Amino acid sequence: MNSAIQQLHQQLIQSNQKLAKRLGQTSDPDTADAILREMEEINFRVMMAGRLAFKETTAAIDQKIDAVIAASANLDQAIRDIQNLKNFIKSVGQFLTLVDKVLDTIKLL
Amino acid sequence: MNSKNWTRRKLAELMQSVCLACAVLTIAGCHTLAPTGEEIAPFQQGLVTADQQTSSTFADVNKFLRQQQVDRAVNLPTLSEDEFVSGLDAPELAKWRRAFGWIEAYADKLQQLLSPDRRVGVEGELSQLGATINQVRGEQLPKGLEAGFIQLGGFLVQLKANKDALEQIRNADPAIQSIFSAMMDAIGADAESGVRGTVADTWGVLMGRIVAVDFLRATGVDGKRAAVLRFVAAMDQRDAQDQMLGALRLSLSSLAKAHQELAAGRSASASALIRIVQNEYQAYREQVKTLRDAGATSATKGDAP
Repeated sequence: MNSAIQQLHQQLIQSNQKLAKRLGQTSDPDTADAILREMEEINFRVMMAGRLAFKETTAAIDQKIDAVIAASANLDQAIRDIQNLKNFIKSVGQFLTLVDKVLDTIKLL
Repeated sequence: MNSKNWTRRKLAELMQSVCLACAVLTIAGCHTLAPTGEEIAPFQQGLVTADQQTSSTFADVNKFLRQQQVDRAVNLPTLSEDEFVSGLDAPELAKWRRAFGWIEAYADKLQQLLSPDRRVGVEGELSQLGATINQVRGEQLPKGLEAGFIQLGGFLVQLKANKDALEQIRNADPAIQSIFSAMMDAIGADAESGVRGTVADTWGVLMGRIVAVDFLRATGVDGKRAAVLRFVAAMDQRDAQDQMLGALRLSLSSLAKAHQELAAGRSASASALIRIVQNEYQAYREQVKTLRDAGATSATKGDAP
């Protein structure tokens, strides 16, 4: 993914890198101050663009999470299936015990 | 030996053979085996670690970005809230936490499904059922038959759990890959993109300030030396912070690859990848210590974090 906002973010960063290079080549404090003010202003916009790019990427994460939620729900069902099987076997056992008692009672008659 | 006993023994032997044949055929038929519950545990732990690493790394980034905006604001003619940008907004960070939470919950359910206790539970119920059947019939079932019945039941439960788990791992894998890939994009592949780009750019301004304000306006060698020392310390701190973000990116990449390996039935290599996450977190903690020590001892004028 390389959206327009991400490209702008990158361009601003590259502009500041050029200014930093110019700052490193100047020995005049006033010129340096002027370059620094420009760098601060560009940096403010780098932060703004970065924040928007982050928001954009997070929206993509948020969209995809639904598939993980669906997989979780299917796993819940699979866990329940096994529990149901266990309960079914248990109820068959209980039913047979009941049958046994009925047979014992019939024998006594 | 009477013919009834002989028949029962043969029936038991036959049942055991059928169970064994079923097991062999089914295992041979499975090209991919689901991971065990124990093999899911490291992936789950890796998620928790990466979640913690993300939260603390982003908190550090936000604190740093906020501090660096003060020097720009000082030179503005007016002051308002609009002149401050939060690096990473709270609602977005909440969505990251939510995403980690859901993936952790998914891993927890995988671990529950693949737990050996599931098989043992069903085997226990089958064993009780066998005992009840014996009582009702009033005679002993052949021993081999009962044991085979219980084993086959437990085996079928395990097969179903494996099949279901593997199916869900494969279903979820494309989304998991996209999520971690988007997270890695947001962090940035290098110091010119993503959060890494914003942070590196801000360090560039901080270092520019040392040059323009401290170094070029220093009157003596001592003043210049102090500025140079601050500049060098800032370089080190910038590199340490970038490494922290790089480490987080590597952790997310390792988690994505580990999930891919689980989907392909290669649990061993998934565990090796999770060790990378733990090592990166350890490296991250050491970088935090380096940054804090540097912040405490460097002769800055209050610019560094």
